[in-house]
Amino acid sequence: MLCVRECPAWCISLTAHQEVVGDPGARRPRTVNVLDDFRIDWGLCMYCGICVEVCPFDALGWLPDPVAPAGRQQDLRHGIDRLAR
Amino acid sequence: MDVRDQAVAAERWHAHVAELVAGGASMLDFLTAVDDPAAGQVEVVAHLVDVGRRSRHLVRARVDRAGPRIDSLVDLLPGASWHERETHEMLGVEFVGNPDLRPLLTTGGPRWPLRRTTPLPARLQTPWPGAADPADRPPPPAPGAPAPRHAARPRTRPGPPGVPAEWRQDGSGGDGPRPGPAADR
Repeated sequence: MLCVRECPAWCISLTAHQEVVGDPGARRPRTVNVLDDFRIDWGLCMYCGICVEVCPFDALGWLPDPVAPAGRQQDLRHGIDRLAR
Repeated sequence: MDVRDQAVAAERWHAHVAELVAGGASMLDFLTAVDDPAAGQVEVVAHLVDVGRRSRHLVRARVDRAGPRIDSLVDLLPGASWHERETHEMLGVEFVGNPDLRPLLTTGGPRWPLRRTTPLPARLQTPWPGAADPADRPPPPAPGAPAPRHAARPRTRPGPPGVPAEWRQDGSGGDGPRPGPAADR
């Protein structure tokens, strides 16, 4: 979520939900965030790299390949299926 | 390439840049300005490169924000003309001696968009993707588990970085408590 908040172009959006893990009957059940959707709008991205720097899990990184051109603006919004390596 | 950061008085702007250009730093990389409303000033910045010596000069001069005026550099560096036109339309800086300060990039819209006090309509209206943080919502109680004794305490909601709270319509903003800097990597 830090990447979403710190992006100056607001080009990242994600949805997630929380799930209880471990013993559900415990007095203080542990929860984890589970990612549902992660999307970068390459038409807004400034390639500044703040998202890469700020991620505490090193989940984002630079690749040398350029972003593929698209005929429509919505086709520049890539989800995790196109982003994940 | 090493960079020399030099702050000069606004009256010395033209003379100082003339010395640098005569000394070999004759390539203008960019000329722009930065708004500093807290100090009541606008800082004009020029980046000159001495290609032969592989050195860079970052020259800064502060002018009054209420009527920012500074000498134009077009007689030393003709390429500065478009940089000065852009700085003029984006921040309202007047470049004395530049005969052509027509707008370069904007066609209508808010005047002086790069001043920090100019609200940008897109920032006001666009929903900020960072507002919906799943950590702000408590997880559903597991089946059979007792209901939590105290309601989850909502965190103070930070807003988009750099956007003043009074611009936002959804109550967020103001650069509230921010996550700490990422660990030195």
